[in-house]
Amino acid sequence: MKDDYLWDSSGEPDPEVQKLESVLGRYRQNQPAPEFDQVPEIRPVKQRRGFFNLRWSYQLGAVRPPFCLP
Amino acid sequence: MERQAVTVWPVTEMREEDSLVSAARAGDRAAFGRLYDRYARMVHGILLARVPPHEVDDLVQEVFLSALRQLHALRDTSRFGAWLGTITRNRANDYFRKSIPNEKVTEPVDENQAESRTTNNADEREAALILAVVRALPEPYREPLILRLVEGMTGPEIAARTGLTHGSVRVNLCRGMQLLREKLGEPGKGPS
Repeated sequence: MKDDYLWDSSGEPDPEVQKLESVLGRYRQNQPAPEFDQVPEIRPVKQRRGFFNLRWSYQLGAVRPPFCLP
Repeated sequence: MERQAVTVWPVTEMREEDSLVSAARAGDRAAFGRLYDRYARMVHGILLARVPPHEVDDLVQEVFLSALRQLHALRDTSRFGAWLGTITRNRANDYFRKSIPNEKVTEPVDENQAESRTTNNADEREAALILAVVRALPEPYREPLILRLVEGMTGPEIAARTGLTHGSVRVNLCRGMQLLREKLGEPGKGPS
């Protein structure tokens, strides 16, 4: 197929694509990986349930049944 | 551009990648470094399709640091590439929100502007001019062409890394190349 070289560099080489690869290759990524070991550890923030939250949950639970009755 | 999750890619490669992503999520920085090695070209290419070339290297590093911070939020490890691609495109959009709007690459190419950014070196000037023409193509063609012609990725590799189907990548590559040939055939734009 005519576009095989463009697709996966197989088949008969397309001189125009080769030329573009050669010219544009100067912009290719060549940076090594950053020092990810040096990045401080990141932990997802979890919401803490404090005493007052628990108390409100308890009170809401206590008043809920009468409203739920049909 | 059509985006689908189904991509044919060697099963061993996919399993290895899933385990790398899982390890990275668990805090293994070496595993994250290996993901960088696999995906740096994709991130670089996506950025190069959108932002000025001299900004790309710094932004690549920012994207990976951002991904490292957000990795715990990734639910499906098999979608790492597509997820990273989204972070990269969002970062490119943020770049334009914070900088001069005139630099946006979707605007028509000004050959004189492209030329003035390069040195007198003829090869550099030619490369800058061709890159400017590619960057002025419609978005669905711009990204796969840069990944193929600049980053040296094959079509199947582009599909696997970005999470797109082989079909959509192949169609966009072929149509994009056809359009690029037409544009480069115009007087004053063709490669010498």
